[in-house]
Amino acid sequence: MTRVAPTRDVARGLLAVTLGLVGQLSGLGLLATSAWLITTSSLRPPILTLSVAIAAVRLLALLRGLGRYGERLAGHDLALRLLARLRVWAYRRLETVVPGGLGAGTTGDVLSRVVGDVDGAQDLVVRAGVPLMTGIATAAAAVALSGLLLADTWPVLGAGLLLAGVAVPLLARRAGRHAAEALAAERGRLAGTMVETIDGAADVVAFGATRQALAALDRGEARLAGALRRSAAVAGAATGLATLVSGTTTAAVVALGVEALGRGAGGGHVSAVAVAVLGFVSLAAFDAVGALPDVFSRLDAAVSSARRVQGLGALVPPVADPPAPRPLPPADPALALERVSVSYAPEGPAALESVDLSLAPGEAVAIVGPSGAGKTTLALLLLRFVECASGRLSLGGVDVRELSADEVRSRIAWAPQDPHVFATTVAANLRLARPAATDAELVAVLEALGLGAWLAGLPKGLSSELGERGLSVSGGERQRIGLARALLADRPVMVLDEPTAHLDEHAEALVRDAVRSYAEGRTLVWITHRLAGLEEFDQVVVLDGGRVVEHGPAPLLARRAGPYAELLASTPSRLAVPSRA
Amino acid sequence: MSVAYGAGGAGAAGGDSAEGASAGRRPRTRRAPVDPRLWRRVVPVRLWLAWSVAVGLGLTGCLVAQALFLADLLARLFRQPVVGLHGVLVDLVGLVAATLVRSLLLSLGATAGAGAANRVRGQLRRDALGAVLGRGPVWLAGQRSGELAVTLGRGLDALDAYVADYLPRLVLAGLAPLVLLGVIGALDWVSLLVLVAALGVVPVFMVLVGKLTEERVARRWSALGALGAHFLDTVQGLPVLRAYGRARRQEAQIAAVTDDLRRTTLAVLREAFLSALVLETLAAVGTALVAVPLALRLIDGHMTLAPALTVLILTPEVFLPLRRASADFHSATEGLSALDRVFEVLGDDDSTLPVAGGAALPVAGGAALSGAEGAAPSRPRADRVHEDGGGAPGSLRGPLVVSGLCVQYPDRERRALDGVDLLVAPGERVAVVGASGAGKSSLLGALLGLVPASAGSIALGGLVQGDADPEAWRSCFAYLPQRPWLSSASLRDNLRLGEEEAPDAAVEDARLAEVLSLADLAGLVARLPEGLDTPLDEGGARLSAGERQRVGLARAMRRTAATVVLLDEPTSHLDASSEERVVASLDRWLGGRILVVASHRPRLLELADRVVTLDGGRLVARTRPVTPRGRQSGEGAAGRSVRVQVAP
Ligand SMILES: Nc1ncnc2c1ncn2[C@@H]1O[C@H](COP(=O)(O)OP(=O)(O)OP(=O)(O)O)[C@@H](O)[C@H]1O
Ligand SMILES: Nc1ncnc2c1ncn2[C@@H]1O[C@H](COP(=O)(O)OP(=O)(O)OP(=O)(O)O)[C@@H](O)[C@H]1O
Ligand SMILES: [Mg+2]
Ligand SMILES: [Mg+2]
Repeated sequence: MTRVAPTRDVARGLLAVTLGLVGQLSGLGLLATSAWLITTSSLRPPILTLSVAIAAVRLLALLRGLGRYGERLAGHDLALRLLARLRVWAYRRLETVVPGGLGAGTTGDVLSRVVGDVDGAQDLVVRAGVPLMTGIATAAAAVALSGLLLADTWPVLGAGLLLAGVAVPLLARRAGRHAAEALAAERGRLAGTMVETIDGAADVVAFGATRQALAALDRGEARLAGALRRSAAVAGAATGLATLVSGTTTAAVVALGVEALGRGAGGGHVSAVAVAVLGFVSLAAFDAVGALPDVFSRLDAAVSSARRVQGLGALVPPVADPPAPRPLPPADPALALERVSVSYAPEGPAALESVDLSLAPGEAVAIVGPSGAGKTTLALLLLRFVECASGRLSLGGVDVRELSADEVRSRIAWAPQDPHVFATTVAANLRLARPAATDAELVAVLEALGLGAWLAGLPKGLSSELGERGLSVSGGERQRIGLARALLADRPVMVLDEPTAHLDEHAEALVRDAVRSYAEGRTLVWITHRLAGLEEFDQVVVLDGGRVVEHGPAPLLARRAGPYAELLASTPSRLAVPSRA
Repeated sequence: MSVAYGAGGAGAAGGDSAEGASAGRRPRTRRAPVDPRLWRRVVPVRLWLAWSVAVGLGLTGCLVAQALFLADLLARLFRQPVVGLHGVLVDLVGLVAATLVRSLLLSLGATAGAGAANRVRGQLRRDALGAVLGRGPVWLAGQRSGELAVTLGRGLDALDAYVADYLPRLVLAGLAPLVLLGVIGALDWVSLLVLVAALGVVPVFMVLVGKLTEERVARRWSALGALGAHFLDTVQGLPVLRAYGRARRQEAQIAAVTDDLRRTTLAVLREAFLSALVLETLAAVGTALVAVPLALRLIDGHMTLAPALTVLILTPEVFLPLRRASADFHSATEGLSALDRVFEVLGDDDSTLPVAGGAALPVAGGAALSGAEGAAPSRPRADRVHEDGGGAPGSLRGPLVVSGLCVQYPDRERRALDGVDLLVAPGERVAVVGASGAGKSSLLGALLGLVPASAGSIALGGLVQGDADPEAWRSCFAYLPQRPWLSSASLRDNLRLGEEEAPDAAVEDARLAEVLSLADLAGLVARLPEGLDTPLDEGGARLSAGERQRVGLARAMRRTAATVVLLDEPTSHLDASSEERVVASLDRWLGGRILVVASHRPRLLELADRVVTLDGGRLVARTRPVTPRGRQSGEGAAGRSVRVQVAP
């Protein structure tokens, strides 16, 4: 999109146009020569005078097909190469803006841009660019030929061709542009609706909202249908108009010829041949430009598709890298927040406000606080997925804004609150955190987290495919797959966002122990609502409303009458419910 | 492209499980140019075909007229060069008139084509999405949502070209050559013979190339689906990939998948264009073959000029519709390949649900929802639900009886539920505990009818689940899934999921405010920039996890007609004090409703009359209430004898 087309692509484009020209001009030549041949024959000349024409007819017949074939192949080859690059470009853009930068856009819409619109943009080359150029060139050749045959006719033919090939398409374009844009946008919207509905199928069905979902689809469909109808009406009118112009012009050209004959210009029968040939040349020329109204309407669809793809370029990454990132400070993973505030919208409420926090290397810190307090936001901040609105976050004493965000992330292992499970094998799902991990290591981590029995129950062990979006694993299993990644990653800082929310107390204790032993010598940030076992942490930070309201070792906080003690008090006493009978 | 997620992702490019399987299953029986399944399901297609035949005949007629007028005109010039304009006026007027009619027919055809495409696409898309919803989460877990989205989205969009352009062209390709050959034959039978010989080769070639292309188009289609699936999965998982520095690697993956697509596409095109090449060459050679003998016979004097010219004008037109149809063949078959997949989703191929153990769960949607009357076929059963419920529609009162319930997921050796027996009295509250993976969510899903049971039965108030209309059955339940799904719509729309349009907006807002405060979200609306109308962004990304959970809970508590409440870990993401408030309001809200809650949280267990433990899919019941519930109403105390009416 943004780059200049390499010279090879230009060469491919030229090849396509050249071959297209060969095809079109052969077609023109074929008709003209045949007409000449037949009309001349009716004058019964000696057969020898026709032999060149007969040979030409045969040669042109072959050239025509071959030229078209070559043009199509070369054009599509070029288009497909551009597409492949466009898709990668689009992905590269997305990579910098997800999470957080998509705003109100949906991944379904993005999907339709990358799959549908990128495909649509190929029409720019094959159905618009190449036919446009060959059409124009053929029309020019026809006009020149008509001028040679009968000087009076070329302005008429030229005007007709301009009308049918340029004016009508341009008019259609003006009338249809809006519909073409709406078409692409509606398709994207519908794709978004569908991806969302498919994602939420279980909830939609459970709530009896099937009809509602289908009604939403119908509304989108109705808008799409309107757009399609409008753009088809415009395209149809344009085609009809162009056909009309073509017929009328041919009639006019022939009429001019008839008149010239009547005036006695030229000499007798030879001119009658010229008139016949003229008629055929006119037909062939309109055949070449006849595709142009369609070209223009496709051009619009393709352009709006291309625009939608390009629109991805306008997304703003929530966190931008500095132009010249400083090298990462060596082996000092100390993280420090100084009066950091974060808000998700420029004018919106602060999700974190003036937070001071220091995470010394090797320290284990638990973050607690009511739901919505900003705990996950803090994790995203450390991972450089959200930017500080004010204040300073530093890694090893260096402001993270001077570092490459990817490099900061390379120091941190993260278990998200709602980990994504990819539609691939168990092993591949884990190895994305450490590609070099051996099978034995993977099994060891899973067993440490209490997933040994689950793994044993899978049909192909580590090579079992996990269904998409973690639909075929239980909530607790999914969370521990996310946790296993963090443990495998072998990074100096671990940020774990409610890794035990879906576990019973027994499994929670097991997981906490496993994490504590893996985290030996690493910085550990453990976000939780469960207060059990927090005594083992060096520090407990209580967040509320985006502020740190209390921090210190758990036993100390428990004794003090403060927010932590309140949280503790509202936690019901443990009940003796055995997790296993 | 060799590492980590990449390694698995590469499967998507080649033989991804879902695509591979479906490509294998795909019946290769399509021979008819118009898919009979399309014909059967979408009735307007027939009308459209009839219309296309009429327009096609009209267009061909115009062509013949044009040719006759032009040829006649030119021939006149040779007989008498100085005719002057008035001498050829009839021909000129005829020529223009024929063109006028032709252009009118062309514009009309385009508009009508769009209309037909709209109807076909609209109906198929609606049916297909209904079927996807009806097939349930277990089936969906085995699908790639990106591939489904591409099929239902772009695939059906590609059908527009098939219906609007290709079908009429196909009709024309069948009609026009016959008509034109008839005319040519009447004028000059030698030319007819030449053309018939040239055309005779065409069908043979078309079949050969078409079959090849069809295979390849199907391959290309699955490559496109794979790209969609891979892309969507990757984008949804981007946060994880970026956190582990794997996002860049996915570039190579995307490049590989898209390059695969490019190669399969080019292979398709090469063959499609080859068929076009053959036809074009035939057309051109046909013209040459017709022209040269015509010329020779003109010289001999065996032929007059007017018919010769007519034949010459009409000859390329004999081939034109065929050429057009074959040039569009590949883009049309793209729509057709998507159609194959759509019919697979719709179950029109009688492909059974890929669920082991079969069909305990009647499939909603699809056929049932596609008819104009909605769920008309199951209406009698739905009525039964209402009768038994007595009064409030959609509510079935009475005990919830589960007996011998088994759930077997595809590809899993062990059953997720293995012979579960459970009797819940009206008004009783049961907590289900058990280790992660014990089958708690599966149990709730089965009760709701989302997860198909491979054996056993579930009955509510005497009505067996299998006998009930699924939608009516589910309307008796209020459900909070473990990971509630929120859409990018507004908070209001999210809360009102499944509700018909409210008559009074103010009353409705008050109701929503009430359930929000029940779910401890009283402050949320005030905090959101546009209050209830604030869009929540995809997946509810604008909220924290605990807020999402509480919105899910509020949504469940809005279902006041429900008699059974199923909550899957409703407080797992809440802090203790919020949990306390939520549980307290839940206690009040529940009233005499049955509660089945999966949880480990002590506070929630206090709410229950009875705690049952699941272990490896088997139930270990505890009859003793965990704590006295402190409710005085005699209803639903544990251990109370209940009359169980299980329908035969
Ligand atoms: N993308 C977003 N856009 C706008 N607001 C957001 C966004 N994400 C979170 N918020 C808001 O920011 C606040 C903090 O959210 P955060 O997810 O950090 O809470 P949390 O402490 O992790 O809560 P929980 O315990 O429920 O997970 C919440 O009020 C939430 O509504
Ligand atoms: N669609 C599926 N396909 C295959 N296996 C599945 C599917 N859904 C669940 N399972 C498996 O069935 C078992 C039971 O899952 P379920 O979700 O019922 O557990 P759970 O008790 O709710 O666990 P948790 O407490 O972790 O949520 C798990 O081992 C899970 O991996
Ligand atoms: Mg959180
Ligand atoms: Mg569960």
